[in-house]
Amino acid sequence: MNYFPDEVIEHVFDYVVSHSDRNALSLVCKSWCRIERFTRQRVFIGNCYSISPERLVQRFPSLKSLTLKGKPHFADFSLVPHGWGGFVYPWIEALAKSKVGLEELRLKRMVVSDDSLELLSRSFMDFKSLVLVSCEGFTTDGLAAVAANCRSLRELDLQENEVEDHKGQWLSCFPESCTSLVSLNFACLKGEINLGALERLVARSPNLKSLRLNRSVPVDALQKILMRAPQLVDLGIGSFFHDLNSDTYAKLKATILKCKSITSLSGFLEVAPFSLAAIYPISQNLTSLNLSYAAGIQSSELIKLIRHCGKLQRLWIMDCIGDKGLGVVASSCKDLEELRVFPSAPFGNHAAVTEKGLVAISMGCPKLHSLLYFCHQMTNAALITVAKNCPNFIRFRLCILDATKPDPDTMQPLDEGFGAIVQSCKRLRRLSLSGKLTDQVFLYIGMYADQLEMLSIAFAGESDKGMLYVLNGCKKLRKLEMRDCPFGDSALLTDIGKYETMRSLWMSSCEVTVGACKTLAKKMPRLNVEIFNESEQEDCDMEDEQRVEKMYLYRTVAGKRNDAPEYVWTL
Amino acid sequence: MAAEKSSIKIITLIAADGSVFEVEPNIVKEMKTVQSYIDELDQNTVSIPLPNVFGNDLAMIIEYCKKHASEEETKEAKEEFDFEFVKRMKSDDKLRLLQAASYLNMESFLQFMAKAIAAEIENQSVEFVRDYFQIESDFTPEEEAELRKENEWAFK
Repeated sequence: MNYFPDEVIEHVFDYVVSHSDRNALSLVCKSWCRIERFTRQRVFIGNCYSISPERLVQRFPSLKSLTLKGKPHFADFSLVPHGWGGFVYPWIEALAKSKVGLEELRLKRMVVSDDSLELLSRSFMDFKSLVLVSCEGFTTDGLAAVAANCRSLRELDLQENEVEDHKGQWLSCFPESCTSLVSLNFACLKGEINLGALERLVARSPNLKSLRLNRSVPVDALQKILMRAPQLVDLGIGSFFHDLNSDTYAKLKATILKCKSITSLSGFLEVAPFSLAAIYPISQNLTSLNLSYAAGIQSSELIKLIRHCGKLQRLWIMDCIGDKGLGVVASSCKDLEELRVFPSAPFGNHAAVTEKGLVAISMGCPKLHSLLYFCHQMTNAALITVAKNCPNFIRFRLCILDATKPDPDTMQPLDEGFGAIVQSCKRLRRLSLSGKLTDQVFLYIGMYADQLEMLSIAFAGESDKGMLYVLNGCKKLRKLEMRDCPFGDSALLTDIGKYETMRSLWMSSCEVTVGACKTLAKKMPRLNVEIFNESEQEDCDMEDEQRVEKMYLYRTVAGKRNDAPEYVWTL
Repeated sequence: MAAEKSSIKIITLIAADGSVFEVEPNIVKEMKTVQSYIDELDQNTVSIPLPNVFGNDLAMIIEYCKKHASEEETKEAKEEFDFEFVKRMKSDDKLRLLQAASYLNMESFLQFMAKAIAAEIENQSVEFVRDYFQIESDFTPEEEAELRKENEWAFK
């Protein structure tokens, strides 16, 4: 047996970073478990109800960076009712109480109150990085506390949050001594910004690499900011609304010419038609372009811009680019790895993209491994071609706007097309299905999708068999979410052991009954089985035969939660 | 002190298996254990026994030290050397060299080996890691199951 002093082992542990490798170290023996416990700095918790905050700080007292995820993913589609939970306050409280030296907090789909932000800002001396994604429950007052009190803040990244904007001067709360910012993103804020404070903040942040502005920052302010920060690598433009013949526009064009280090561009939250020519000079450097909020740019304008973007690896764009535009992407962007095409109108528009655009992309962009594609229609033949051309997909999310639309050429379901995707893409980890689908597609998924970790299903399948194929087949499945599918009690109860191998299961508007959920909860006490009763009647006596509108279940070592609202019944 | 040191021309290192290595003083600069010997002895030539390091391993360490002590080598050349150095080592060599680095109290070589060993156990199972380090678990099955569950359920 090799003998190593603890401090030597610690040196090895310093280089082991991934969560799963750290987990493995902790299981080797008791002394390794102890060393690992006291040296783990980064912790990831995929479900904030899977463990208690107290246990977290007890186990990992030296933690510096915490990532926490709250609500189920279907919250993005407004399927999780208001007030469900996912509160960060108890976590911050526990961390503060134990005097953990927290430096970084990354939250997704959590409820963040101003009180939490205030407590956070006063509790951790070396706090450096706050990343909030799809969070809610706070206002600019909370942000003001962070700005004022976190003296070594490097990163404040607000992505897609619902923030109540008190039109306060939160940006002016960064003290004069704050010069450490590396990344600042407030694109999701709706209110006015103190432009003078913003300019001064940028001017005294020599290390600022990433800056994403909101729509209230106009072009002349943008120009002044860029003058101060030519070192930016990642820029999110707020308003790009200007008069093409104005002085401001001429100045902006000249300034952008000097921003040679920008490789990532996003925003254009307000944009004038025909104004994109100003960014042509830096387009050839771009590896990432996100125009998914740039409503109001014509297809022809997008196409002209894309022709200049030969190095793009990531492109997020609206479907008004059209199939023709995607053809240009395919011929111009040979290194494209990630593509997202979003709908410009909720129910599609006449120019929306179809299978033709996707086929063109698959032929031109062999490195593509991640796709989110909102489209008008899809065919089996197209999916089979895509599967052949791009076997490297890790994420494949297809969203046909008419969710049950069959192959328009043959009127057949899309089973064979998705079957081809799961058969040829051996590394597929995430899949979202749409279009008309029978149980056959689930047979293929269960048979071929060995690496699949997350599956989203809507309006698909015919019987319990469909769900069972997936549960039996996909050995690595962690998250399964289904809505409006005909899966019922027998599908739910056939393989209940499976749910302890998964992070969570969501079923809404399926055929599952209250009785089946009760049975499941009784047999599997370590699962929290939550059903949501949103009806007005407070009558708690739901009949066992009654169909469950929404069910969410997850494994937990913390037991039942005590912060659930009245409409949530944990069985 | 500096004047005294420079008077030492050659240092003889004697490995556990008796093999002998004669090196210049700048080569052993990083070996704090060796340095403490040199500081104690006030002689022109010194001979230092290293009973915890085998000859093969000591040869490799000296090779590493020579490369890194050289002022003519570029940073890139040293990096390439490191890459090849790790590549030709067997898994067990790395553990022995880590032990040697620890015994010789060599900070940067210790870090270098720690990193190489961390790469060795990347994406591996608990069983693999135990086997590699020849560690037997002292958890009861219940303790292990409980910990495994917490890792899987909460921290992944």
